[in-house]
Amino acid sequence: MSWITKNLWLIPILPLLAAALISVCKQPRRRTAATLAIGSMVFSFLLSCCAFATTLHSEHGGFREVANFDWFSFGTTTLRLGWVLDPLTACMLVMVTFVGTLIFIYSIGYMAHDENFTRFFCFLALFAAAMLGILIANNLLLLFISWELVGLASYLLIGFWFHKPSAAAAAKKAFITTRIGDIGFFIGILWLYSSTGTLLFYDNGAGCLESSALTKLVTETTFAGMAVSTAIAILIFCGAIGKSGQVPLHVWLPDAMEGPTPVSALIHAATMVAAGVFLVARVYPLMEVTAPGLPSVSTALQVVTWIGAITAVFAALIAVAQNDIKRILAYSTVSQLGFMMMGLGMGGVAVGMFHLITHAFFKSLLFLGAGSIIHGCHEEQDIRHMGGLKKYMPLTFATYAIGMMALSGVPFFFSGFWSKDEILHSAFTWQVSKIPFYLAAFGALLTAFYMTRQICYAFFGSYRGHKHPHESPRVMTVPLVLLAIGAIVLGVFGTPAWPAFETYLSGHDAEFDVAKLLRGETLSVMLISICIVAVGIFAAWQLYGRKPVKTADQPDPLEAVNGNVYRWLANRLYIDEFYDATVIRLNAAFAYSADLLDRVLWGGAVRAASLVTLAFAHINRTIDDLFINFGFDESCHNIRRSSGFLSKLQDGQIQNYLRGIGVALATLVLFLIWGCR
Amino acid sequence: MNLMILELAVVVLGLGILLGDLWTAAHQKHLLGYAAAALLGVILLASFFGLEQVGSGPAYAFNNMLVLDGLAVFFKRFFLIAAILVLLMSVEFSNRIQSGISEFYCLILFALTGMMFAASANDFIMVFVALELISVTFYVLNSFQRNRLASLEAGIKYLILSALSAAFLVFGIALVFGTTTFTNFADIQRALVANPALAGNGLFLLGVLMIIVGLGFKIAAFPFQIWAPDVYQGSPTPSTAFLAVGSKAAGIVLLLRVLFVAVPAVTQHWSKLLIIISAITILYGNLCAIPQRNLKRLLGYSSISNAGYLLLGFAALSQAGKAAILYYLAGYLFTVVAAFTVICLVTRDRDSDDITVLAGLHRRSPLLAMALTMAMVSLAGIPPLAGFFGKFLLLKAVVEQGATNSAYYWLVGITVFGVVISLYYYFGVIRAIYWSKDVTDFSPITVSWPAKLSLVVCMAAILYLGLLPGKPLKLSEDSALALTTPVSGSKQLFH
Amino acid sequence: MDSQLTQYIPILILLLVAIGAAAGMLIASVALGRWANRGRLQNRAKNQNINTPYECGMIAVGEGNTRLSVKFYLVAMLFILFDIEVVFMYPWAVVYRDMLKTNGPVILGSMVSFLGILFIGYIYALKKKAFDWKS
Repeated sequence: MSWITKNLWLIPILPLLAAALISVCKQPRRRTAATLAIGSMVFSFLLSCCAFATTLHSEHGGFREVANFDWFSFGTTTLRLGWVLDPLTACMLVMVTFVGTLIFIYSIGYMAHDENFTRFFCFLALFAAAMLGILIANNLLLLFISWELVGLASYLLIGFWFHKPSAAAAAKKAFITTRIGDIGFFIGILWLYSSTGTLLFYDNGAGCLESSALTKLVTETTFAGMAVSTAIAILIFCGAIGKSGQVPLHVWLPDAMEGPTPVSALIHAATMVAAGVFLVARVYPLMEVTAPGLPSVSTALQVVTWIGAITAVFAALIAVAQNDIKRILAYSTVSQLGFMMMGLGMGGVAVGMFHLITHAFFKSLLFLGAGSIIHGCHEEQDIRHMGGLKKYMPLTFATYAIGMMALSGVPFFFSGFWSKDEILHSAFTWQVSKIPFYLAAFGALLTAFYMTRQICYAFFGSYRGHKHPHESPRVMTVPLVLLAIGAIVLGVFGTPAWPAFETYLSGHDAEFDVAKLLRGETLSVMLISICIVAVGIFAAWQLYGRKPVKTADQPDPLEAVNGNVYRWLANRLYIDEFYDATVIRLNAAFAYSADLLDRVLWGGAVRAASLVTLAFAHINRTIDDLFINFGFDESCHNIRRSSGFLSKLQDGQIQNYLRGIGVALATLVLFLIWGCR
Repeated sequence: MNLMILELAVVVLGLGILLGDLWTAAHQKHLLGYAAAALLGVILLASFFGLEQVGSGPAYAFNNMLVLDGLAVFFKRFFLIAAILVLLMSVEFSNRIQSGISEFYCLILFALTGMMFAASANDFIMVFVALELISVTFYVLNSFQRNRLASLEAGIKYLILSALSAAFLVFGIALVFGTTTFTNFADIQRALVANPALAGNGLFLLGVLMIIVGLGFKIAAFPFQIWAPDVYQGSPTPSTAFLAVGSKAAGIVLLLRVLFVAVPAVTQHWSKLLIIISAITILYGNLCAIPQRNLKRLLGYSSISNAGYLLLGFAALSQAGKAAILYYLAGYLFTVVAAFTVICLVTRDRDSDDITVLAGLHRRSPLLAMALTMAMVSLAGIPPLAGFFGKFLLLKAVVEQGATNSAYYWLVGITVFGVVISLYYYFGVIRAIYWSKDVTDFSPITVSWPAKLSLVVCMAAILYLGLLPGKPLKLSEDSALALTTPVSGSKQLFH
Repeated sequence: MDSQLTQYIPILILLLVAIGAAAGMLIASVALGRWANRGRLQNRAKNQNINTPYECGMIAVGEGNTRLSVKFYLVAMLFILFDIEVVFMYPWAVVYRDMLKTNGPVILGSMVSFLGILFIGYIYALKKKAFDWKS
């Protein structure tokens, strides 16, 4: 085992230690807190790079090293934990630590004026630690613990400005909504444990993701003829639905924008939402396994695909009509997560994960850019009150435009193009149905549309706000530039001509082959994708770019085209209202009827009982007064007297202590004579 | 000779401190305390290299009076750690002691010697000598604040009651010697095997009972707990801490050896006695702690209830029970030392040990507040800290014996009841820290870095013992093995 | 068991004799006093003089125990300490020659270490000015 595998635990422990140290350090110690947090992340990043380098050179079949150890034994069962180092872990580690480090640095500038600066860094470090814990876990339980820690940290961070009621509500919403998914996840874990007897992923052939356990799971069936593996996989996927904001549990994600912007970047780009996708990728063997003789795609993966496709289109539609700059990005994230799930479901680990990585870079770039805009415009988040920022914030504009083009999938130079193209390609060739392909194409079109709209609103035209905007400080713009470079460069590793990322994950060597690029099928999908992007950008430019909006209260040009549709979209398809009307109303109705039941039925019973009791009490009282009171008083007196005697035992008089010991000894002797024979 | 090399080193160190004091200026005397702690640390480290050679099996010396086996080594390291932490605490306490702080350090070292000999004792004579060395030093340690009446009173009380218990002990030893003509544990065990009627001999049993009384006094088990609250309250805080940890553990190790090595045949029949003592001790300690407002007195009662928990492991009469005792003691060491260190630091500038001095502690010093909170939570037995796992192991050992005697289930019930009661007063302390009203004093408390270090070590150990019980549990199980291995020579005698 | 206990019968007799002697003296003195005072109990003032220890000597003045300087106890205690230590040396000296052949280093080392500790105590007492009567 290589030294890095042995010491892989250091990667999450360092930020955790930093969080612990910051938590005991005093409020005004800003510099210490920031240094600790960033220092720990930089170290983790360096270690992750080492881990990454280790996984690069390997023989065929993929690099995988595990370090398992006994946590404790409980009777005959032993609970074992461990961590695993394979390409999946390594690339995620590098991505999370790199993006995380940049976000940490950026936070110094963004949170500079906040009085709870140290607390913020404590939570950030805790968040990063928990996320890294998820990545290295080789045990579903350890993963679940870290998973819940991520949930806790996100709760703390979203509600960081808890004095704002909306922030407090959003934090609660995030916590509770994800918890709903986690119930399914937890049931899945328990089921898996009861049927395989282990929660370790890889354990020299005995792990739950290895062939012996999988064959066992596949051959057993549960209700409705479903394989146990399918049921467990779908339950685990429930957790991913909650964390990654898939329909129908996506409602918390846009509200999570109430947190400070670096948090939004951390949650939406690198970590929390990625956790769900990573989970699916991690348990992929369990997801994809099918019984021998059934060559088709597994049921679990079909579920993943459909949910992903619906989410992708659904969230993109909503994003079209939002006005809050961060909300647009939030819905965009939901939509992109749908793309990732689709990629996982149809194309395999490499496709989904590649989009995850590229998305992490350009989405955190966009979020941090949005933060920079908000910071520069004096905490203004409404794009209707921006405009013309191109002039005032050139660097932010340049990097934001790069992020936008990457997200929209502008061809050839941006990573988003290549990763999205792969998803479209795998959707195109999927055996089960063609519908996801059309959904994905439509989603891509919408993506290009709403991103162009946003950039037109914010950067073009004339400034519509009140206070004078300014460019952000260096500590905020430098991370932007670094991320922008990442957003461009990463595309190189996933082109069909040189699929370095895919081969890295599967453990082969990549071959450079331009011919693959020019194969008919690949080329046609690429052309379709280019056309889609062009149409989206062109349409948005027609609507918003040609004639920039003049004042803040002017209606949206789209509203002019079709008012009804716009209102539907602007109100987020009334999903929150739907939940209010159904789930929450139902809950209230239940509560109300329970209350009614209580009052009428139980209340009546209680009242009757109390009347009977009262009657008895009256009879009793007469008896008491006559007979019992005298005896009761007497015994009370006795108790008081004997407690006085007991307290005398401890009255500080040493003579009494000596007597006490003598009496005790005598009692013991007597006890031995009669008791212990 | 090399069996007692550690003890010799400690004695030499104590004498060195005594001499060093003569040529040290008054304002530099705290350095002597640090030096003593550091050198004890060296001795502790040396024990990991020097003693492993003997580790293969038990080694005997001085006509089998001393034994060096896993149990002895475990307890020697335990006492060394306790003494180091207490020494660091005493340095913080030095401004409360009018004169002779170096003698305070020396006496701690001499008491430590006694405890370490107790860990190795394999003969009743050795038991007596070791216990007297501990007691005599504690007479002085307890009354060291001679300008404080309470401290003098504590010392005198401890002197008189300890003398009484020592008298019982000696009488018991005499009776056992009179009936068996042996004082060596192994010899007595052999004699019991050879002559089973001895286990029914009244005088012999009376002797054993009196020995248990003498040792029960040391560990503050009911009904011999009666000195503990007064003495704990009155003594200087470092003495109290050492009394609570070191002296109690010395009693425990001797009780382990006497009950399971010397007279196992008698112990087999006395499970009922142990169950009753354990149950009453738990109930008494926890019930009496509830109304206490004085922190040290509260911990005194808490210490009584902890003696009760430890007795659970004796009552179980199983190997798991013995291992659980060792595990619980290890957690108890760090918890109690952390609590007393915090109390020592907080009350350093005040004359009161009342619980109200803790008000607003989290604002005055977050580290101290955290350490005390952790100690209290651990003592209350809440996961994931050391106290929880220790109690869990003890209860598990008792439950496993439930099949043999239903009284064990009652014992478990009483213990759980006691633990629940204890939540009340432990959380009372935590409440006093964080939720006190009318806090007036927010002046920060300065904590020197050695004290910080010792607190951090304690907290880390509490967490470690609670979260990663695997290794320490293995260690305590191995150490407890010393109490089962047949005594050398017994085979030749009967085969 | 009985045979063992019979060995202690002389001790039991001694115990009884000791109790008897002590109790007898107390009882005898009270009884004798009553007997001597019989018939004179009417006049209390006169009897007080009769009951004093020295009926015809000086009347005792002041307390029976005078206060001594604490230094006295300190020096006395130290004297006893160093005096008593010599007691250990007699048996050691007696067996020294025999033991020298078989266990030379042990018998020498044990006494040297014992005297060493004693010497440290002496230095300590000296430096702490325990022998300095004046201060």
